[in-house]
Amino acid sequence: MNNKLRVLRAERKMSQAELADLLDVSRQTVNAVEAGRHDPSLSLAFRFAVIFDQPVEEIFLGIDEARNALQLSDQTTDRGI
Amino acid sequence: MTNENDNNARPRNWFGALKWEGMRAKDRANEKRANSYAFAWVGLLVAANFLRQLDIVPELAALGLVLASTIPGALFVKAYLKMLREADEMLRQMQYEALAVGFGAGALCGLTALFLFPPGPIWGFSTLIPMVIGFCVRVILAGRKIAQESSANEESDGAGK
Repeated sequence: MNNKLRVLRAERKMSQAELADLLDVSRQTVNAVEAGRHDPSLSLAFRFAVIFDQPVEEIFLGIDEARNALQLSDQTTDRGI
Repeated sequence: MTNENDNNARPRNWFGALKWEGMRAKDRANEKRANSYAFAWVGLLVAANFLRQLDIVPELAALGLVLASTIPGALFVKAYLKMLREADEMLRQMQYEALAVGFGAGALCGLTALFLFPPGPIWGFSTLIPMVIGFCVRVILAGRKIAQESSANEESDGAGK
């Protein structure tokens, strides 16, 4: 899953180890999520969102993809799916 | 920052990968507990078998020892479940995959032996041994891969301290 965790972390000048400590996960988990090799659980995704103070969909999809996903969601709602 | 995690340590060799540097202190403690029960369980089984073969203790006592080994066995299962429930996400995924590989290897070899060999102890061994080996090999290889990728990414990232 695409995400901008590396950028957000760099902006805050945090190491993976420091972020892992804040999230109560291993550094390997932070690393794998950042690299897109592991999709985080819902709980972990929300913890990322709280720490970086951004919505989950913006962190993990990027704003354009998030908009597209929301439009798709609106279309399916309109069609009563 | 807390100092509970061993997050700054990086694996440099096979032993480092086996230890999976960066594990949380909680995971390490849970793993130690499960391993202790597993060793006690296997140790009691081996001791009971050894005593039965030497014929130096009454048969009933040796059988009692075998039955007693089920206590650390049950405690191991409980400790392993606790470890899985509380485990870090990557560690849990690694354990699930290793369980699947172990089960698959055991079923594959066991069922094959079932049709290849006449009834006998080989049926049990042909299931149990591939199961244990499959699980262990998967854990070691997955742990090493994750540790290597993680180490390489952190070093090239430049944000690590």
